[in-house]
Amino acid sequence: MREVAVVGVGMSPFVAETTQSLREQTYRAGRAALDDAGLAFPQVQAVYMGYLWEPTMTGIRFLKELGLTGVHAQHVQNASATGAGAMLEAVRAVAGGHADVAMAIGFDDMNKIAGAGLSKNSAEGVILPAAFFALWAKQRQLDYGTTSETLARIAAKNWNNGALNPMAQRRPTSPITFEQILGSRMVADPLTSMMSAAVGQGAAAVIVTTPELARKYHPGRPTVLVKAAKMRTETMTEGHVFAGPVVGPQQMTRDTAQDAYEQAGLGPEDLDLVQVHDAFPIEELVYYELLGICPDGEGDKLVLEGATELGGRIPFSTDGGLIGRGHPGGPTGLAQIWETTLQLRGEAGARQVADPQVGLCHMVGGGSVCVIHILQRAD
Amino acid sequence: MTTTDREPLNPEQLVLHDDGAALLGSRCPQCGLSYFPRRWECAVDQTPVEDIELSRTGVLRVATYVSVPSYGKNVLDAEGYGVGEVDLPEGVRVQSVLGGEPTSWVPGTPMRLTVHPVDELEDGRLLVTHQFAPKQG
Repeated sequence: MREVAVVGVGMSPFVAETTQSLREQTYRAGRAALDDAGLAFPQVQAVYMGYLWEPTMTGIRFLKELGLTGVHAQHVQNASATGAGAMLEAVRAVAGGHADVAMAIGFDDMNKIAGAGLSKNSAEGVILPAAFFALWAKQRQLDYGTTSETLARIAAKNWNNGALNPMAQRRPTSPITFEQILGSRMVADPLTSMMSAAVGQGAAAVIVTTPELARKYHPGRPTVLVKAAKMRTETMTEGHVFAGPVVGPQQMTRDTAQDAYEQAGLGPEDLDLVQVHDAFPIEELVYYELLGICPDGEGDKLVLEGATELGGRIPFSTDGGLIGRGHPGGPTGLAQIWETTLQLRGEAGARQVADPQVGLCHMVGGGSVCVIHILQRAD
Repeated sequence: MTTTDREPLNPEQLVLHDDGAALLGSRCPQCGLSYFPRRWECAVDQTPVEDIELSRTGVLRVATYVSVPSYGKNVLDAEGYGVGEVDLPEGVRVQSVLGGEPTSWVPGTPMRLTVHPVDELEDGRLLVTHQFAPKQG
């Protein structure tokens, strides 16, 4: 297998609503990634396009805006992990020698999820993401005594990180406090509206190639290597739930992380920043432990110490995460790669982590799957 | 209300008897694992499984109250609803809507399977789905 590097990233801002069409947002994200890579579209040999809520054929139609080159193109769909899945396929295309340059591009409008689940009352219809992750939070409270304040502190951190990200949907003009988070409308006890992912629209794109070509295209720029790209589905666990769950057992993240660390030859102690599927803060809290950042039950302590804030020992969701930056669906996982690439290059502006070398991106998708990428600055 | 007044929303998952409703599950004759809903093979050893009716009582593991029903709201009259996980004696964990008072949804509480209506058919019969509520007495 060949080594793979990220050579270009681009985004269209994640927003609640806009007069700009999704087609234009997708074009602009793809064009930004090409410009960042210093490539022309005819040099792209494979494209993987992720989206959830638009009709069949939409991705291929949108791709025409970048040019008619006869390029190999596939749609990828894996719920919230759709963009991460598209990235993984692009990485595999280059690693396997099927393409020297591959693009992953995602777009979506999560507001269109409102059409889902309208069938009659059933586990699938009423145990929605907020309810499902509220059960995680309730169980966590029983197991470790986690407080709502801890969850609110994570959410406030991500809102405030989003304020520093020009691509974020939530960009508060004054700092958000955990008291404001706690005081917002209850959605599913103990999760409030300000603890919930920002639902909106947007697009993001990533271009990968070999490290040799990346250095050739950008000789003066740090090369960002893809050290691991791993995906897992569920394995059987005690009390496994088959009807109704949004995502599977938490063990799926632990196992995928182990796979990724092995592939990268790195461990959690090597990470300098992490992006996770923080649709609700209980997820980020649990992932501290499942990713091996701290022992089980000690995630709450990380929050109280500020270890996962910008400037802390291991910053999480530096671009705001799903809570601050937003979660349109298809592009979400690619926004994580955008953020981590900028951070490793030292181009993340006001939210720049000090001299990061390694970043991890984690997404889960309903059904369910987990996708993890580990990126490393090479020079 | 008799079984002729009602019809299960999902007959693959729920059966209505005169003495109460039951969830339809499967059991692996090789390893003994039980499942809900029904399946064709064991998820662990791929042995063909047997159809069973699962126990009608269990224990509440965890619960929450959903205040913003979102896209489930069209089938629920109330402003919100409870959901939880119930562990059945067969080792099966079921996610379900909860009945009864929210204050009674305490982890460890014995629960029993009931049904509640979600729609009315043209012939007047009620379409019902399963829920668990605290066991009385």
